[in-house]
Amino acid sequence: MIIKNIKNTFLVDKINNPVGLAFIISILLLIIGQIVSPGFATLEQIINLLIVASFLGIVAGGQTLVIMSGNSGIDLSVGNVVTMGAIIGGALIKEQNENVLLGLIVVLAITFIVGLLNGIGSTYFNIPPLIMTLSMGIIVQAISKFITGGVPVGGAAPVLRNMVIGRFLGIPGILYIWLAFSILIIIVLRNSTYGLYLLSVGANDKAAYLSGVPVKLIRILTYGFGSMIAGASGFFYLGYLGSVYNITLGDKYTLPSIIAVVIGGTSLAGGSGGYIGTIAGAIVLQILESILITINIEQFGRNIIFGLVLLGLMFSYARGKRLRV
Amino acid sequence: MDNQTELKSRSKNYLKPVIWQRNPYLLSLIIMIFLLLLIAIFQPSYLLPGNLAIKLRVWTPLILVSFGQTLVILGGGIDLSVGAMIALINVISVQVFGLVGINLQGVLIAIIAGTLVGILAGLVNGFCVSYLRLQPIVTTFATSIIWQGIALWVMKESGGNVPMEVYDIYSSNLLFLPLSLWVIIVIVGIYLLFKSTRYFMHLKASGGNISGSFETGLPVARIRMWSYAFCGLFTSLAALCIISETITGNPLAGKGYALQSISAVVIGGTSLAGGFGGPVGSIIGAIIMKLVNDVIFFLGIPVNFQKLMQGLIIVAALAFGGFFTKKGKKYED
Repeated sequence: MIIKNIKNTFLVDKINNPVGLAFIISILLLIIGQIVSPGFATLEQIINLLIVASFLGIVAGGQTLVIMSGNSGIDLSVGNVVTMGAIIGGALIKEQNENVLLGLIVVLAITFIVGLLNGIGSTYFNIPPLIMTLSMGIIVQAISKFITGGVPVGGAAPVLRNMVIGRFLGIPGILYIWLAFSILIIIVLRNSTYGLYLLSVGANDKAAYLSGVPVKLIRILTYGFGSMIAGASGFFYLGYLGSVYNITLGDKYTLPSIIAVVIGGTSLAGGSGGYIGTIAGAIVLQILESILITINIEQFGRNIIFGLVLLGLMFSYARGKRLRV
Repeated sequence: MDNQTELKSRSKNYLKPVIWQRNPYLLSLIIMIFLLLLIAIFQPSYLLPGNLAIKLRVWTPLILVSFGQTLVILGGGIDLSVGAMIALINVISVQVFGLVGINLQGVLIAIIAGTLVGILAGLVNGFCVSYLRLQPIVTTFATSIIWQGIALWVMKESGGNVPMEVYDIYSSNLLFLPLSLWVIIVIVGIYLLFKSTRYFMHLKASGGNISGSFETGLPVARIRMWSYAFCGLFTSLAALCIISETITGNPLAGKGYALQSISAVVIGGTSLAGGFGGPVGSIIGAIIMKLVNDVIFFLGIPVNFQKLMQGLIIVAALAFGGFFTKKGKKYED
């Protein structure tokens, strides 16, 4: 028994630095891409890849917090919330510079409330988070549909577009936004009371409760933050696209955001992990997707591959406890 | 769980009305009767036998899926992939049918192929969940994406060649009753036979307390895996009903079925934590889900709101179920 444990921790130490592993994989993927189609790994291409990865990376940041909160916490409404963020933003901004700040604040407020509802449903009503957030996704989508009424809403203002795709020192603005966001999340997770509470709630909610952590409040707030971050990502995505053209815009972020978190070494059981791994995960996924697009694999083929990747990751990182003790 | 907490929770269970414990579907029955009364007032012609027969044909797939979903949930799992599974079975059956040829033989082979695909998909889910010990919700979410991808691979857009005769058979009467009603009678019959079998008892036991059942010597993994396979079987029957009703192959056929079936199960009084409840309630739950949609329609609510209302009802149903069959963690214990 003891020998087994030692062996286990040794192996885990060896393999389980998912962050480093993910960065190595992303470099390997870049090399493969360069071989498959020359010109894949030029600096300009890499910057383009990072731009597309940044929206996923930001959404996955929220997902990281939610998954870390434990109790099988997960947020499947993020895709729809991204869409809603873009639509509400567009509807409020109407291509006017002076409306940008108002748009951002309203988007953040509404998506925060959506997340709080997710949290309340899954903590106070014991609805499994995955199901709660899936149904919330339906509601959010219906609201988005209601806002647009089937016709395109207004587009992004020049200021917002500049903020996202305008370049400073050759690097587009969204990457600075992503960098600032990453630093903020990492500091919050490592150095704030909230981060400490979040980790303790995720690791062992009973112990956390007994040591005076407001477990339910922390979980509800976490869902709120997760959703708000997705909304913000949608808002910036609007800046990237210029205008919202369809209602399923953000759906493509739901599954990848979870996979990115798992690749980055955050346990689906909660209580461990961090954002740096997720960043690496988002980049890996984006490069993988680009390669798959380059070799002409259609959307459904990519989905099959992503589904298999998620199953494979769960098999290697997130298996349940043995019943035999 | 130590002795004291166990006693506490047991005493809590005794506080619940006995009639609720014996018949978890009772509340859903009351809701269904209430909805039917409401419809009788607003739209009396809805309750004519001819209309009900048509409605029943549309309801049957959800009823079948909810029946299968109940078995999985009783065993302590959940299957989010049923919707995508319907799509997969749908396109594969239609493609097989097109390959074999439009005749009785083709129909039979298509039915067998569809059923096999359903059982196989269920077994894959069950294997991943019970033998590989992956978390059921995320696993079936991942497999649902895979099934949907394969369905779109097999058939890019709706089409296929299903003759009108299939629809005629499905909508015909057998011994004065619509065929879809017979389907429901048969599955209720199967449940009544199945109810007191060893397998069903073991399924409920392993859903209620997995480590306890394991220690008693039950083959927990095998029991849970087969519950997913049964769910796949019932889902494939639902998919075949959908083909007969729409007479086309549609790679997006099962959209929304996963959440609707789970809500139906919860409305029917089955606990999402596993081990408590039964399929009869889920049948009533499925009918309630469909009736509510129709009531929303009768009330003249705008189309954009209808979807919103459906989402809200699903959440309300789940919250309600969570409230009544509360088995969640209590930090105070």
